[in-house]
Amino acid sequence: MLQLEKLTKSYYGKRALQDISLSFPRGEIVGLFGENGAGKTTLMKCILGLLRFEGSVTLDGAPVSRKNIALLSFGTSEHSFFPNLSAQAHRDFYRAHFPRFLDARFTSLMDFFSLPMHRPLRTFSTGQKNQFEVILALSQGADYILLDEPFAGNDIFNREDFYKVLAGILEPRETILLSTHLIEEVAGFVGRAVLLHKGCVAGDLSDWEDEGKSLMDVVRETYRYRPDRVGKALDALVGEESK
Amino acid sequence: MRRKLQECVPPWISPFHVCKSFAAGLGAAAVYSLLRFLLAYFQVYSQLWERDWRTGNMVLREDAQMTPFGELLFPALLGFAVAAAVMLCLAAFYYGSFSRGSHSLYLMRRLPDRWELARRCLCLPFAGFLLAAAAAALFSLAFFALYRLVTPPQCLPFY
Repeated sequence: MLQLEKLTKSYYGKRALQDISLSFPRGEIVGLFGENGAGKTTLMKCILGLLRFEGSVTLDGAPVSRKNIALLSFGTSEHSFFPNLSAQAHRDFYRAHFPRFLDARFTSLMDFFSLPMHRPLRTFSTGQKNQFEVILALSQGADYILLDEPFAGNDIFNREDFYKVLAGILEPRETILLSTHLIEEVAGFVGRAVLLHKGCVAGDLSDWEDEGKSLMDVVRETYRYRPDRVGKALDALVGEESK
Repeated sequence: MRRKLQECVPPWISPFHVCKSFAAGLGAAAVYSLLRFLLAYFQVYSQLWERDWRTGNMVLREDAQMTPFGELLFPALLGFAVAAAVMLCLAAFYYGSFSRGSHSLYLMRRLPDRWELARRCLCLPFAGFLLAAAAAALFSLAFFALYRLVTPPQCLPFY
Protein backbone atom coordinates (compact mmCIF):
# COMPACT_ATOMS: atom_id res chain seq x y z
CA MET A 1 0.00 0.00 0.00
CA LEU A 2 1.27 3.43 -0.97
CA GLN A 3 0.03 5.87 1.62
CA LEU A 4 0.16 9.67 1.60
CA GLU A 5 -0.60 11.50 4.84
CA LYS A 6 -1.20 15.24 4.92
CA LEU A 7 1.24 15.81 2.10
CA THR A 8 1.84 19.54 1.67
CA LYS A 9 4.22 21.23 -0.71
CA SER A 10 4.94 24.94 -1.14
CA TYR A 11 7.02 26.74 -3.73
CA TYR A 12 8.36 30.01 -2.32
CA GLY A 13 5.41 30.40 0.04
CA LYS A 14 2.81 29.42 -2.58
CA ARG A 15 0.97 26.19 -1.79
CA ALA A 16 1.23 23.65 -4.62
CA LEU A 17 -0.26 20.78 -2.62
CA GLN A 18 -2.31 21.03 0.53
CA ASP A 19 -2.96 18.23 3.01
CA ILE A 20 -3.17 15.43 0.47
CA SER A 21 -4.11 12.16 2.16
CA LEU A 22 -4.57 9.21 -0.15
CA SER A 23 -3.86 5.51 -0.17
CA PHE A 24 -3.24 3.28 -3.15
CA PRO A 25 -3.55 -0.46 -2.53
CA ARG A 26 -1.77 -2.92 -4.79
CA GLY A 27 -3.44 -3.87 -8.04
CA GLU A 28 -5.24 -0.60 -8.73
CA ILE A 29 -5.12 1.47 -11.88
CA VAL A 30 -5.69 5.04 -10.73
CA GLY A 31 -6.19 8.07 -12.94
CA LEU A 32 -4.86 11.35 -11.57
CA PHE A 33 -6.70 14.22 -13.16
CA GLY A 34 -6.69 17.97 -12.81
CA GLU A 35 -6.22 21.19 -14.71
CA ASN A 36 -2.74 22.48 -15.54
CA GLY A 37 -1.09 23.53 -12.29
CA ALA A 38 -3.41 21.39 -10.15
CA GLY A 39 -0.41 19.63 -8.64
CA LYS A 40 -0.35 16.26 -10.44
CA THR A 41 3.35 16.32 -11.35
CA THR A 42 4.30 17.85 -8.01
CA LEU A 43 2.44 15.07 -6.21
CA MET A 44 4.33 12.39 -8.15
CA LYS A 45 7.68 14.06 -7.56
CA CYS A 46 6.94 14.26 -3.84
CA ILE A 47 6.07 10.55 -3.74
CA LEU A 48 9.38 9.76 -5.43
CA GLY A 49 11.32 12.01 -3.06
CA LEU A 50 12.44 14.30 -5.87
CA LEU A 51 10.94 17.26 -4.00
CA ARG A 52 10.93 18.10 -0.32
CA PHE A 53 7.53 18.23 1.31
CA GLU A 54 5.70 18.22 4.61
CA GLY A 55 3.68 15.17 5.65
CA SER A 56 4.54 11.56 5.00
CA VAL A 57 4.69 9.03 2.19
CA THR A 58 4.94 5.36 3.15
CA LEU A 59 5.33 2.20 1.13
CA ASP A 60 3.85 -0.83 2.85
CA GLY A 61 4.17 1.04 6.15
CA ALA A 62 7.79 2.18 5.73
CA PRO A 63 8.90 5.65 4.68
CA VAL A 64 10.25 5.85 1.13
CA SER A 65 14.00 5.38 1.34
CA ARG A 66 16.82 3.86 -0.71
CA LYS A 67 15.83 0.47 0.69
CA ASN A 68 12.39 0.43 -0.88
CA ILE A 69 12.58 3.08 -3.61
CA ALA A 70 12.91 0.37 -6.27
CA LEU A 71 9.26 -0.42 -5.55
CA LEU A 72 8.45 2.87 -7.29
CA SER A 73 9.03 3.55 -10.96
CA PHE A 74 8.43 6.73 -12.89
CA GLY A 75 7.66 7.49 -16.51
CA THR A 76 7.36 11.15 -17.42
CA SER A 77 6.71 13.19 -20.54
CA GLU A 78 9.84 15.14 -19.53
CA HIS A 79 11.70 11.84 -20.10
CA SER A 80 14.12 10.40 -17.60
CA PHE A 81 16.22 8.20 -19.88
CA PHE A 82 19.74 8.95 -21.13
CA PRO A 83 19.36 10.44 -24.63
CA ASN A 84 22.81 9.33 -25.75
CA LEU A 85 22.40 5.68 -24.78
CA SER A 86 20.69 2.97 -26.79
CA ALA A 87 17.76 0.90 -25.58
CA GLN A 88 20.12 -2.03 -25.07
CA ALA A 89 22.42 0.07 -22.87
CA HIS A 90 19.40 1.20 -20.86
CA ARG A 91 18.44 -2.41 -20.33
CA ASP A 92 21.92 -3.15 -19.00
CA PHE A 93 21.81 -0.10 -16.73
CA TYR A 94 18.41 -1.02 -15.32
CA ARG A 95 19.44 -4.64 -14.88
CA ALA A 96 22.45 -3.52 -12.85
CA HIS A 97 20.43 -1.23 -10.58
CA PHE A 98 17.02 -2.86 -10.28
CA PRO A 99 17.29 -6.54 -9.33
CA ARG A 100 13.64 -7.16 -10.23
CA PHE A 101 14.02 -5.78 -13.77
CA LEU A 102 11.58 -7.61 -16.07
CA ASP A 103 13.68 -8.60 -19.05
CA ALA A 104 10.96 -10.52 -20.85
CA ARG A 105 8.50 -7.65 -20.50
CA PHE A 106 11.08 -5.17 -21.76
CA THR A 107 11.86 -7.28 -24.82
CA SER A 108 8.25 -7.98 -25.70
CA LEU A 109 7.22 -4.32 -25.34
CA MET A 110 10.20 -3.24 -27.48
CA ASP A 111 9.07 -5.74 -30.10
CA PHE A 112 5.45 -4.67 -29.82
CA PHE A 113 6.31 -1.03 -30.53
CA SER A 114 9.03 -1.96 -33.02
CA LEU A 115 11.58 0.21 -31.27
CA PRO A 116 15.22 -0.17 -32.31
CA MET A 117 17.55 -1.63 -29.70
CA HIS A 118 20.86 -0.18 -30.85
CA ARG A 119 20.14 3.43 -31.80
CA PRO A 120 20.68 6.26 -29.28
CA LEU A 121 17.42 7.48 -27.80
CA ARG A 122 18.03 11.01 -29.09
CA THR A 123 17.38 9.75 -32.62
CA PHE A 124 13.90 8.46 -31.68
CA SER A 125 10.75 10.39 -32.58
CA THR A 126 8.82 12.03 -29.72
CA GLY A 127 6.27 9.23 -29.81
CA GLN A 128 8.98 6.58 -29.67
CA LYS A 129 10.66 8.37 -26.78
CA ASN A 130 7.38 8.37 -24.86
CA GLN A 131 6.89 4.69 -25.58
CA PHE A 132 10.39 3.88 -24.40
CA GLU A 133 9.93 5.94 -21.24
CA VAL A 134 6.82 3.96 -20.38
CA ILE A 135 8.50 0.65 -21.28
CA LEU A 136 11.28 1.41 -18.79
CA ALA A 137 8.78 2.33 -16.07
CA LEU A 138 6.84 -0.88 -16.68
CA SER A 139 9.91 -3.10 -16.87
CA GLN A 140 11.72 -1.87 -13.76
CA GLY A 141 9.94 -4.46 -11.65
CA ALA A 142 8.27 -1.85 -9.44
CA ASP A 143 5.00 -2.41 -7.61
CA TYR A 144 3.91 1.22 -7.93
CA ILE A 145 4.26 2.66 -11.42
CA LEU A 146 3.86 6.42 -11.66
CA LEU A 147 3.18 7.70 -15.17
CA ASP A 148 3.03 11.46 -15.70
CA GLU A 149 1.43 12.46 -18.99
CA PRO A 150 3.17 9.52 -20.64
CA PHE A 151 1.43 9.77 -23.98
CA ALA A 152 1.89 13.47 -24.77
CA GLY A 153 2.86 13.48 -28.44
CA ASN A 154 1.60 9.99 -29.29
CA ASP A 155 -1.18 9.46 -31.82
CA ILE A 156 -4.53 8.01 -30.79
CA PHE A 157 -3.87 4.53 -32.24
CA ASN A 158 -0.64 4.32 -30.39
CA ARG A 159 -2.25 5.34 -27.13
CA GLU A 160 -5.11 2.88 -27.49
CA ASP A 161 -2.66 0.08 -28.21
CA PHE A 162 -0.79 1.02 -25.10
CA TYR A 163 -3.85 0.90 -22.86
CA LYS A 164 -4.66 -2.55 -24.17
CA VAL A 165 -1.14 -3.80 -23.66
CA LEU A 166 -0.99 -2.27 -20.20
CA ALA A 167 -4.24 -3.86 -19.15
CA GLY A 168 -2.98 -7.20 -20.46
CA ILE A 169 0.46 -7.33 -18.89
CA LEU A 170 -0.09 -5.94 -15.41
CA GLU A 171 0.30 -8.33 -12.54
CA PRO A 172 -2.02 -8.22 -9.50
CA ARG A 173 0.69 -6.66 -7.31
CA GLU A 174 1.25 -3.76 -9.68
CA THR A 175 -0.44 -0.40 -9.15
CA ILE A 176 -0.49 2.29 -11.79
CA LEU A 177 -0.93 5.96 -10.99
CA LEU A 178 -1.57 7.62 -14.33
CA SER A 179 -1.65 11.39 -14.66
CA THR A 180 -3.25 12.59 -17.88
CA HIS A 181 -5.61 15.11 -19.43
CA LEU A 182 -7.06 12.42 -21.71
CA ILE A 183 -9.92 11.57 -19.35
CA GLU A 184 -12.31 10.10 -21.90
CA GLU A 185 -9.60 7.97 -23.39
CA VAL A 186 -8.54 6.32 -20.14
CA ALA A 187 -12.07 6.07 -18.73
CA GLY A 188 -12.35 2.39 -19.57
CA PHE A 189 -8.85 1.67 -18.35
CA VAL A 190 -8.74 3.21 -14.87
CA GLY A 191 -10.71 1.81 -11.95
CA ARG A 192 -10.39 4.86 -9.76
CA ALA A 193 -10.06 8.57 -10.40
CA VAL A 194 -8.38 11.06 -8.11
CA LEU A 195 -9.21 14.62 -9.03
CA LEU A 196 -6.92 17.44 -7.99
CA HIS A 197 -7.90 21.07 -8.00
CA LYS A 198 -5.55 23.86 -6.95
CA GLY A 199 -3.41 21.48 -4.92
CA CYS A 200 -6.25 19.79 -3.06
CA VAL A 201 -8.11 16.53 -3.60
CA ALA A 202 -11.37 17.58 -5.23
CA GLY A 203 -12.65 14.02 -5.61
CA ASP A 204 -11.67 10.39 -5.16
CA LEU A 205 -14.04 8.31 -7.23
CA SER A 206 -14.32 4.64 -8.01
CA ASP A 207 -17.90 3.61 -8.65
CA TRP A 208 -19.14 6.03 -11.27
CA GLU A 209 -20.29 3.22 -13.57
CA ASP A 210 -22.58 1.86 -10.85
CA GLU A 211 -24.29 5.24 -10.81
CA GLY A 212 -24.75 5.04 -14.57
CA LYS A 213 -22.46 7.97 -15.24
CA SER A 214 -19.41 8.35 -17.40
CA LEU A 215 -16.09 9.38 -15.89
CA MET A 216 -16.26 12.60 -17.88
CA ASP A 217 -19.67 13.45 -16.36
CA VAL A 218 -18.34 12.84 -12.86
CA VAL A 219 -15.28 14.96 -13.53
CA ARG A 220 -17.45 17.78 -14.90
CA GLU A 221 -19.69 17.60 -11.85
CA THR A 222 -16.74 17.64 -9.49
CA TYR A 223 -15.17 20.65 -11.14
CA ARG A 224 -18.60 22.32 -11.49
CA TYR A 225 -17.99 22.72 -15.20
CA ARG A 226 -20.44 25.19 -16.78
CA PRO A 227 -21.15 24.06 -20.36
CA ASP A 228 -22.85 27.37 -21.16
CA ARG A 229 -19.72 29.43 -20.44
CA VAL A 230 -18.35 29.05 -23.99
CA GLY A 231 -21.63 30.27 -25.50
CA LYS A 232 -21.76 33.21 -23.09
CA ALA A 233 -18.18 34.16 -23.80
CA LEU A 234 -18.77 33.99 -27.57
CA ASP A 235 -21.99 36.00 -27.28
CA ALA A 236 -20.19 38.65 -25.27
CA LEU A 237 -17.31 38.80 -27.75
CA VAL A 238 -19.53 38.88 -30.87
CA GLY A 239 -21.84 41.45 -29.24
CA GLU A 240 -18.91 43.68 -28.41
CA GLU A 241 -17.53 43.52 -31.93
CA SER A 242 -20.90 44.31 -33.59
CA LYS A 243 -21.22 47.43 -31.42
CA MET B 1 38.89 -2.40 -14.53
CA ARG B 2 37.08 -1.17 -17.64
CA ARG B 3 33.70 -1.68 -15.93
CA LYS B 4 34.86 0.01 -12.74
CA LEU B 5 36.08 3.02 -14.70
CA GLN B 6 32.82 3.18 -16.67
CA GLU B 7 30.94 3.42 -13.36
CA CYS B 8 32.88 6.59 -12.54
CA VAL B 9 31.46 8.72 -15.36
CA PRO B 10 27.97 9.39 -16.73
CA PRO B 11 26.87 6.21 -18.56
CA TRP B 12 27.21 7.65 -22.08
CA ILE B 13 30.73 9.01 -21.60
CA SER B 14 33.83 6.97 -22.38
CA PRO B 15 36.16 7.07 -19.36
CA PHE B 16 39.12 6.29 -21.62
CA HIS B 17 38.42 9.36 -23.72
CA VAL B 18 38.29 11.45 -20.53
CA CYS B 19 41.50 9.88 -19.22
CA LYS B 20 43.29 10.47 -22.53
CA SER B 21 42.18 14.10 -22.63
CA PHE B 22 43.23 14.57 -19.02
CA ALA B 23 46.61 12.94 -19.62
CA ALA B 24 47.16 15.26 -22.60
CA GLY B 25 46.15 18.26 -20.47
CA LEU B 26 48.41 17.18 -17.62
CA GLY B 27 51.27 16.62 -20.06
CA ALA B 28 50.80 20.10 -21.49
CA ALA B 29 50.69 21.52 -17.97
CA ALA B 30 53.95 19.69 -17.13
CA VAL B 31 55.73 20.99 -20.25
CA TYR B 32 54.47 24.52 -19.60
CA SER B 33 55.56 24.30 -15.97
CA LEU B 34 59.00 23.00 -16.86
CA LEU B 35 59.64 25.60 -19.57
CA ARG B 36 58.24 28.46 -17.51
CA PHE B 37 60.28 27.62 -14.43
CA LEU B 38 63.55 26.87 -16.26
CA LEU B 39 63.33 30.02 -18.39
CA ALA B 40 62.53 32.19 -15.37
CA TYR B 41 65.15 30.52 -13.23
CA PHE B 42 68.03 30.77 -15.69
CA GLN B 43 67.12 34.33 -16.59
CA VAL B 44 67.42 35.31 -12.91
CA TYR B 45 70.44 33.04 -12.47
CA SER B 46 72.32 34.75 -15.30
CA GLN B 47 71.77 38.10 -13.59
CA LEU B 48 73.75 36.86 -10.58
CA TRP B 49 76.90 36.92 -12.65
CA GLU B 50 78.98 39.58 -14.34
CA ARG B 51 81.99 39.45 -16.61
CA ASP B 52 85.35 40.32 -15.12
CA TRP B 53 86.85 42.41 -17.96
CA ARG B 54 90.40 41.81 -16.74
CA THR B 55 90.24 38.00 -16.87
CA GLY B 56 87.25 37.59 -19.17
CA ASN B 57 85.62 35.12 -16.74
CA MET B 58 82.11 35.29 -15.33
CA VAL B 59 82.19 36.08 -11.60
CA LEU B 60 79.47 36.34 -8.99
CA ARG B 61 78.30 39.91 -8.44
CA GLU B 62 78.98 41.22 -4.96
CA ASP B 63 75.34 42.12 -4.25
CA ALA B 64 73.98 39.05 -6.04
CA GLN B 65 70.74 37.77 -4.47
CA MET B 66 68.53 35.08 -5.94
CA THR B 67 64.83 35.77 -6.43
CA PRO B 68 62.80 33.93 -3.74
CA PHE B 69 61.75 30.42 -4.81
CA GLY B 70 58.06 31.15 -4.45
CA GLU B 71 58.18 33.98 -6.99
CA LEU B 72 59.67 31.62 -9.55
CA LEU B 73 57.49 28.66 -8.68
CA PHE B 74 53.94 29.96 -8.55
CA PRO B 75 53.65 31.21 -12.17
CA ALA B 76 55.10 27.87 -13.28
CA LEU B 77 52.28 25.97 -11.56
CA LEU B 78 49.60 27.82 -13.51
CA GLY B 79 49.14 24.86 -15.89
CA PHE B 80 48.43 22.47 -13.03
CA ALA B 81 46.07 24.99 -11.43
CA VAL B 82 44.16 25.20 -14.72
CA ALA B 83 44.07 21.38 -14.98
CA ALA B 84 42.71 21.15 -11.40
CA ALA B 85 40.13 23.88 -12.07
CA VAL B 86 39.01 22.11 -15.26
CA MET B 87 38.49 18.96 -13.20
CA LEU B 88 36.24 20.83 -10.78
CA CYS B 89 34.29 22.30 -13.70
CA LEU B 90 34.02 18.79 -15.17
CA ALA B 91 32.18 17.63 -12.05
CA ALA B 92 29.65 20.45 -12.49
CA PHE B 93 29.40 19.65 -16.22
CA TYR B 94 28.70 15.98 -15.49
CA TYR B 95 26.00 16.88 -12.98
CA GLY B 96 24.41 19.30 -15.45
CA SER B 97 24.56 16.72 -18.24
CA PHE B 98 21.93 14.66 -16.42
CA SER B 99 19.46 17.47 -17.15
CA ARG B 100 20.44 18.06 -20.78
CA GLY B 101 18.25 16.51 -23.48
CA SER B 102 16.12 14.80 -20.82
CA HIS B 103 15.71 14.69 -17.06
CA SER B 104 17.77 11.58 -16.39
CA LEU B 105 18.57 13.24 -13.07
CA TYR B 106 15.15 11.93 -11.93
CA LEU B 107 16.32 8.40 -12.62
CA MET B 108 19.70 8.92 -10.98
CA ARG B 109 18.06 10.35 -7.86
CA ARG B 110 15.74 7.41 -7.40
CA LEU B 111 18.29 4.63 -7.79
CA PRO B 112 18.63 2.27 -4.83
CA ASP B 113 22.36 3.06 -4.66
CA ARG B 114 22.44 6.53 -3.08
CA TRP B 115 26.05 7.15 -4.16
CA GLU B 116 25.57 6.36 -7.83
CA LEU B 117 25.01 9.97 -8.92
CA ALA B 118 27.83 11.34 -6.76
CA ARG B 119 30.21 8.62 -7.97
CA ARG B 120 29.45 9.31 -11.63
CA CYS B 121 29.84 13.08 -11.19
CA LEU B 122 32.75 13.32 -8.76
CA CYS B 123 34.99 10.25 -8.99
CA LEU B 124 37.00 10.96 -12.11
CA PRO B 125 37.12 14.77 -11.66
CA PHE B 126 38.25 14.33 -8.06
CA ALA B 127 40.90 11.79 -9.09
CA GLY B 128 42.03 14.23 -11.79
CA PHE B 129 42.15 17.06 -9.27
CA LEU B 130 44.30 14.95 -6.94
CA LEU B 131 46.60 13.91 -9.79
CA ALA B 132 47.05 17.53 -10.86
CA ALA B 133 47.80 18.49 -7.25
CA ALA B 134 50.23 15.59 -6.88
CA ALA B 135 51.99 16.47 -10.14
CA ALA B 136 52.26 20.10 -9.00
CA ALA B 137 53.77 18.94 -5.69
CA LEU B 138 56.26 16.66 -7.48
CA PHE B 139 57.32 19.38 -9.88
CA SER B 140 57.62 21.83 -6.98
CA LEU B 141 59.97 19.41 -5.20
CA ALA B 142 62.07 18.91 -8.33
CA PHE B 143 62.25 22.67 -8.94
CA PHE B 144 63.21 23.27 -5.31
CA ALA B 145 66.00 20.71 -5.58
CA LEU B 146 67.26 22.45 -8.73
CA TYR B 147 67.00 25.84 -7.03
CA ARG B 148 68.98 24.68 -4.02
CA LEU B 149 71.62 22.70 -5.89
CA VAL B 150 72.36 25.09 -8.77
CA THR B 151 72.08 28.46 -7.06
CA PRO B 152 75.35 29.53 -5.34
CA PRO B 153 74.64 29.17 -1.60
CA GLN B 154 75.60 32.74 -0.73
CA CYS B 155 72.97 34.04 -3.16
CA LEU B 156 70.06 32.10 -1.63
CA PRO B 157 67.62 34.45 0.13
CA PHE B 158 67.57 32.22 3.22
CA TYR B 159 71.35 31.59 3.29
